[in-house]
Amino acid sequence: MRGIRGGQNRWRTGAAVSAVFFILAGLVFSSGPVSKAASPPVTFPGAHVGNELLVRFKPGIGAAEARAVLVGHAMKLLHGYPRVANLYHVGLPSRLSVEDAVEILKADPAVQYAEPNYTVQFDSACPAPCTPTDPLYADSNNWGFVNIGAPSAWTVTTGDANTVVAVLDTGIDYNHPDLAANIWTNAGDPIDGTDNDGDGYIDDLHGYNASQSSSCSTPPCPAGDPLDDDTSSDVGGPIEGHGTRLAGIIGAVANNGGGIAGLNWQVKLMAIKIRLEPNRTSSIDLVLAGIDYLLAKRGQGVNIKVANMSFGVSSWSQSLQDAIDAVRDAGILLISTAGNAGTDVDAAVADPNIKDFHRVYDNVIFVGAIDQTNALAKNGTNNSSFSSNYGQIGIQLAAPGVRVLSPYRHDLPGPPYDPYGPADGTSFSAPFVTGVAALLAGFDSSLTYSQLKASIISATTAESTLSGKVASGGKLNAAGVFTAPISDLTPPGYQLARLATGHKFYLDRSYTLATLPQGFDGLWWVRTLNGDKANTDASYIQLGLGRPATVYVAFDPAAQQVPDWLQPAQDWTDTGRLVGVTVNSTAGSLKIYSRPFKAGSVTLGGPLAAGYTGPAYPDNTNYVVLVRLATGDADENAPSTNRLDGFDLITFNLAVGSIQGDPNWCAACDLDGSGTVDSVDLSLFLDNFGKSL
Amino acid sequence: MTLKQKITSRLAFAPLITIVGLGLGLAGCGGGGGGSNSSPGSGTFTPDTPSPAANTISLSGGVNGSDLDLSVVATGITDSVLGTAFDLTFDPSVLTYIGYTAGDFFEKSGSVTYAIAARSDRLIVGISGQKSGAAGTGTVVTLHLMAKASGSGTTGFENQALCSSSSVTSCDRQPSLPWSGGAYSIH
Repeated sequence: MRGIRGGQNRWRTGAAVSAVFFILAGLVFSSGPVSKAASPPVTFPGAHVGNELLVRFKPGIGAAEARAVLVGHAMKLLHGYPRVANLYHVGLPSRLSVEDAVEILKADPAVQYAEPNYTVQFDSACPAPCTPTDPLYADSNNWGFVNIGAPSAWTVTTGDANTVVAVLDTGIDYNHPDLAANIWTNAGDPIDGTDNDGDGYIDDLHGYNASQSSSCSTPPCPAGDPLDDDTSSDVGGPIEGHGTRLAGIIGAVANNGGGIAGLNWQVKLMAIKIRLEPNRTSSIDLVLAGIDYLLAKRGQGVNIKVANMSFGVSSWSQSLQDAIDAVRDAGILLISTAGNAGTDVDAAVADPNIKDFHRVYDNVIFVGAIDQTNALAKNGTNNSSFSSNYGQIGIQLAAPGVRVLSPYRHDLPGPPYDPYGPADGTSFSAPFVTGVAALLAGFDSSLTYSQLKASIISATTAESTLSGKVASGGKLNAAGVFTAPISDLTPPGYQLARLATGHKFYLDRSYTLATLPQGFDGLWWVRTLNGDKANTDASYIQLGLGRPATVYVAFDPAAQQVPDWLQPAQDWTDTGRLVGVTVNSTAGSLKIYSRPFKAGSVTLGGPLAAGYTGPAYPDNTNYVVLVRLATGDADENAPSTNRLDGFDLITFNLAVGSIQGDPNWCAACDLDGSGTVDSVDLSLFLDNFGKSL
Repeated sequence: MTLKQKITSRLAFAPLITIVGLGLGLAGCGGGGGGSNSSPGSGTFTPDTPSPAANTISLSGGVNGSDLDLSVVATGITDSVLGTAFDLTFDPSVLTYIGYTAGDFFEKSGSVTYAIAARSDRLIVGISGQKSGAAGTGTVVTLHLMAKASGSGTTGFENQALCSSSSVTSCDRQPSLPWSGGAYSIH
């Protein structure tokens, strides 16, 4: 496998004698040491992980018997796959080779087969260290890709030509030499004056131009030309082609001898022109027309998973909300901008009377801009000509947005209209996130919009400069999305946030977090709506955990009895700790309950679900969720909890051999999610000893 | 299991590591008397507590050529302990970490895991022995630092604890147990 984790890959060469040979030859091996003289060397043709096997036992062999068989061979059961019966991931002692271990197990009557743990290949990925050959990739203004870790992400995937990304903007210069190969083309509706594909749009070859919408009320209507004809300037750049710039960041062709490489080297960029000349004029009706086209194509099966909307709107709009909801229902994630006014958008988010586009939408990520120091863009600082908006609820994360290199319209005359140039603004931050969303969507086509959203947010790299400025307190992390710690959140409108004292507690209240127990600072939180405190559902909040974690629920202390789902019988523990909150200048608190979970789905019931007794709605308070990921930071009471140190080592060693339910069980130590703290976890911990978290 | 999950779970198996030392020194900013660029060759180490009392942890050591060997010594520990965690601070402009030698204090109880990571102005150290615990007097570990410049300064402990063998889930710290460092001068 390349990229995320290397393992101990080995290539085997030499005589290509497959393991099957031994079965056909009727050779029998004992379970003791293998006699090299009695058997020709076995080799495996593919790269595989050292010291590991995948072993399937015969039907009827239970887990306990399988484990006993393995122990008898000095092997270790690392992980089972309950939905593929009798198949196990097995660890080998260091003295035993993969080849010898396969021979031993093949001779065991309980074993159906044993094979190496072959590494996974990704044909489109770029081997590390990945550096595109595009001449402007190394340009000093092209800093954003390295800043977000794109080279590491490219070792996993460089995109998928089946993924379609819609860009709702000034159009796209679809003839641009750095974009043309990645432009979406509707082969079903060539330019011939006919609506060949029956979608209600005539000749939508590369997308749609919403200027047509007001002149045709009865389909089929002309799709118009979505070619970028933008003649306005952005701060930091000359007349350009705003939508073309965005498209270049998302998906400029790589390694083609010119320009830059986009985040997606293979992708299909759909141009939806909703900003018109002169001056990029637009209004809600044009956005609605663009979204309607987006939905039409999605309805026809076009694989649109993400759309970029690098624009602001002067007011929240019910019709736009309805359209965004329709996009959500179609399974599409929207990426939009924080805005460039240097203001806190949270006032608008919290107060429906304040007219601002920013709200907490299920399927929208709003992106702020950072400069090269990872600070929020500020006018006059670090080459920035604008100040990014911010908001610890309204803005989810930040991405590069100062002096961002991207392609102009290529049909403009020569200097100063160089083919590429830098520009400023959160407009250019959003396509970084869009591009990463497209990479992830192409990598795993099964992901839903809410999974894409949670993965992007929870993978962010924490930055002290962004704490309290954006919900995640972090910046985009392109490589991290493939192993995101929180891979889903339902309801999707609830918010993943890294909270600290002073931060807002609920999405719909101005209550603030006053105190946290030691070691809780910086945990992931699920900000809930206090307005949902009447919920009685058995399944109210669901989390997808990408790695093991301890989940905490901070619950109303006035409850005489917590709901059944939060009871000790369900493995929840009252930690005796409190989260302190300030509610309208009055101090209050919530009680913290904890439970360890393996990687996978976590379901939490409603605050007033069955079993609850105590204050009734509306006199109760909703709970919030805290998540401590299994980072190896095992000792919550250590003097320094933001690093892996000797205190964590002690906790690890105390926990080695434990399983969930044991008194010395340590969820944070179960790094591989096997359900057992073992030598694998300790080895992983030691690999990272001394590191800051 | 999705492809993504497969990658997430792609972890290499490794046997239990009983002796582990990680990292080499990194130069950075720090306190102390500072260093000069002349090649160091001799010097002194003066412990804060030359004659440690019972139930103390102290530093002893000396300069050996360009190396400063610092032994963390447990003296007269009466309650059984299973491990320790501490930071050893020093001036990185004068000293850099080069390695360690296992001690004999925790080794009494069996195999011991040593984890040592060098950071800009300190070593982060964790040593974990067996649940049966250790007591009495002995060397916990000897840390070898190399002088890269002449200079003087102090070295001492931060974030330190001895962990009782009664610890169950995390370090149950032995309370009020004094730790003392020392001063070095490298010429």
